[in-house]
This record gives sequence, C-alpha cells and structure tokens, in this order.
Amino acid sequence: MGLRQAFLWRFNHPRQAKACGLMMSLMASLIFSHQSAFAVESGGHNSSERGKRLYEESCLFCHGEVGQGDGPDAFSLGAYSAPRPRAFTGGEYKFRSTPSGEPPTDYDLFETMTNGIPGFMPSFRGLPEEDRWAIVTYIKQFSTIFQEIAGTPVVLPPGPLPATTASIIRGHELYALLDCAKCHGPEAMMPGGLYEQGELRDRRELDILPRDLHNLPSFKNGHQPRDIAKSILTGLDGTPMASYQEALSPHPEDIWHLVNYLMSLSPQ
Amino acid sequence: MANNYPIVQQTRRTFFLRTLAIAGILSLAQAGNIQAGTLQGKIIYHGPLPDKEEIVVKKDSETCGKTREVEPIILAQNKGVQDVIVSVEMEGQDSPAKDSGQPKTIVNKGCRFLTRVGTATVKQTLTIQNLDPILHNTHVRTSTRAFINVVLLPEAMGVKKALRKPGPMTVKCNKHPFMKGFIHVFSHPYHTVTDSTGHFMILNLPEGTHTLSFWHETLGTLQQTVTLPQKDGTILTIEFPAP
Repeated sequence: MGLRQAFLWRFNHPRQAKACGLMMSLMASLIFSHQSAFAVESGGHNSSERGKRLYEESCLFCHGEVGQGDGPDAFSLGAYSAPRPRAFTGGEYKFRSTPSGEPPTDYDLFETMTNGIPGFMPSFRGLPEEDRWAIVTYIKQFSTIFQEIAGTPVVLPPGPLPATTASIIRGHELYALLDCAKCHGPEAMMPGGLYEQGELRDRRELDILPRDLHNLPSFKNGHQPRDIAKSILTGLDGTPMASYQEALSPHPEDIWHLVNYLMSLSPQ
Repeated sequence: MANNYPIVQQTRRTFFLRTLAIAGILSLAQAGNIQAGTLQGKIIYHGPLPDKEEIVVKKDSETCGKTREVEPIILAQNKGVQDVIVSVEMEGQDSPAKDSGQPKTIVNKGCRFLTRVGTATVKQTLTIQNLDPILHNTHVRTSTRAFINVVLLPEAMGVKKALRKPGPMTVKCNKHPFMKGFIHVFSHPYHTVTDSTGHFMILNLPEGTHTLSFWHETLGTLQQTVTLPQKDGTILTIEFPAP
C-alpha cells in the first residue's frame, strides 16, 4: 500500500484527508514556530542556513523540499485538486503588488507569509519577523526570476475613497463594464458563465473557482481596500484573473469605486 | 613647388576615388553574401486532415460571430502548410543581430489574434492592441509562468512589454476561450513563419551548415540540415509526415 493509499484509506472522502492534512500543517507550523523562536535566541547560524532550516521546518510540508509545491501535504490533496501549494521553482506568484508577469517584491512575500491565505495557508505571524525575512530570502533562491527582474510595485491612485452611495453605484457600473460577471457571475453571484463552461483553469489546467465576492474575509490576497485594489490592478498570475491596470487607466480613481462596490456585497 | 600642388590634389582625388571603388566592390561582395545567405523553402503536407471544429460563440457574438471554425491544419491548394514556425538552431547566441522583420504586435480584431502565429527576437517590444468594440484580455504565457495577462478596453491602443527571454509562448483570451495563438521568441534573428501557401524565407543567414527546426501546433516538430549558399532559385521543400 502506497503512502497516498494508506493516507486515503483512513478517510472516506478526499475532503476529510485534505482537512486532516491542513490540520497537520497547522500543528507542524505551531510546533516549529516555537522551535524557530528558540533557534533565534541560540543564534550561531548564518542567514542562508537559517533560512533553509526555517523553510524546512515551516514550509516544506506543503511546498516541498526544493520548492516544487510537492510536499507531503500537497500529496495528500490528490493530483487533481486545486489550488495547489505554490511551486516556487516556477517563479510565478498570484499575490503581488507588481504588474502582471513580474515577480513579487520581498515585502509581498513577507506579507503573504505573515497574513496567510484564508482557508488554505496558515499565518506565520507567530514566527519572529527576522525569521520570516530569512524564509523570504530562501524562497527567492528557488527561481532565477528574482535575479532577472526587479518587481516594481504599481502605484495606487489616491484613496481609498469614501463608500458613498454614488461611489457604490459607479462601482456597480464598472463591474458590468469590465465584464467581471463572466467569471464572478451577474451581481457577483458566483459562478459566472466561464466557470460553468469549464474554462476557468489554473496553470496546471486544473479547474478553479472564482472568488466568492460576497465573503470578504475569504479574499485570499487580503480584504482591506488596498488589498482588493492591488488584486484587481495586478491580476493573479497563473489564473485567468488578468490585470485591470490598463483598463482602468483612463480614470484611475475608478478602482476605489469598484472596491467600494465589492466591499458592499459582504454583510457588515 | 607651385606645380606640385595640383599633383597632390590629383593624388588625393585618385585615392578618394579608389577608396570609393573598393568600398563599392566590398558592398557588392557583401550584397552577394546576403543573396547567398537567403534561405527559401516550402512546407507541405499530404496526410489526412483532422476535422475542423465548429465552436458556438455564446457571448459577444455580434463581434465574434455566432460560430468559430477552428482548423487544426490550414492547408493551401498546393498542399503548403500555413503557420509553421521556421527557425535556425543557434546555441549560445544571446545577442540578437537585428530585427528579422516579423510582426511583434498582437492585435485583437474580430475576436482573433492578428498575428495568430508569430516569431520575435529577444529585446524587441511586444505590443498588444484591441481593435474590437468589446473587452478582451490577452494572456501570454511562457512554459512556466505568465509573461503578461492584461485586460484591454475596446479599441485600446495597447500595452507594451519587452521580450527578455527566448522560448515558446502561448497567447489566449480567457474571456473568449476559442482565441488562441502562439509566439516564439528567439535569441537570434533567423526565424520566420510560413505564409498562406506554405512558403518561407530567411534573409542574411551566414554561410555554412545549419540545422533548421519546423514547428506546427498540430503536426509537431521536424528538423532538417541545410548547407548555404544554395544554388540560385533553390527552394527547400520539407514534408510533414502524417501524425
């Protein structure tokens, strides 16, 4: 009996296996975060060795030994479940402040690690800040993209703007004008037509769900106005979610109206 | 001494004329080399043709049409294959010589990519435009990551981005999934795409023996060795075997 069969044998449904995998990941991260704090106090390692050790303690379980997104927890998801843990070797990142096609900034990586991804990746806020930076440095060495391009953050227009009725109405108009409904559904009631047609896929050609826009806390890249604006302007590389920076360039302030509309959809 | 002056003038004039003549001969010789370095060819296919696919367009059909016919192989009456990427294998040439003349602009028009299959050279700029009255997104991917994925407003003049690395890239519009294209970036200028009759021409190719690569989205890849210069009027004929 292989490891996968042995793991799945314990559960009646792959979702149970996935939930267990996530629990194990959380437990491991809690245990290892304590060990890491201890290691910092004891000192005596250079930054690279420290980053490697911290990565192996905190990230390897999902992202794999050499950053291919193939750790034991990824294995337990099954080959056709998406989204999968990030493969750092590909150099492609969804959550960035940089234009489509550019790598994230160091701070983007630090922020994702600190905040986690709701429903998918735990927050590593429990690790000391210097440990999180050491992991950022270590993660970057998995792909040459960071040596090739220095990601430059997009500049957000002044804002956010107050969520007035007029602003929300303008945001609603933009939702229609920018064809958001094709993926997220009319009135943001998921799923949209492209999902129904099986056309929304990630870079591995696995089906992925568009974000439920009525559940603000589930937004993977953060749910503050600036987080939402960043996701819309930069796009989520590796998914069909494109950058709307060019489309919003005639009236840059429109991004805040769109954000106000999206935020108005979730119960307060 | 006064008589010497015209002689000096004449000598200088003669030297100038001789220099011009030598330069002329050299440029003619160079022109001869360019002619000798021109590679002409034709790609043909005699195998069975896969069925055309007819896709029903559910949205934006007033711009995109009610249906879209997708031909896995576009074949001319003379059996020439359109949209084959032809390139010369050149290892370790990272510095592009100069523009090969191929288009580097992807235009969204009538819910099609123009050019659908193209080549480009590293360091050139790729421009993406939308001439349709509807929204498009153009999603260009390398084999491992997004090169750019950007939404373009109706009749948007475009987004520009420099091509940095060689390699094949796919082009898609996620809003209109039947829109697909290919662009291959090379680190040298010796590449082109076959026209509607299957013909191709690569200019200024250095003399010697070269390995040519031929890639087609349905028929796959072929390689062939060729030695330049060819005899005048020679047209290399390559036949893709049936898959």
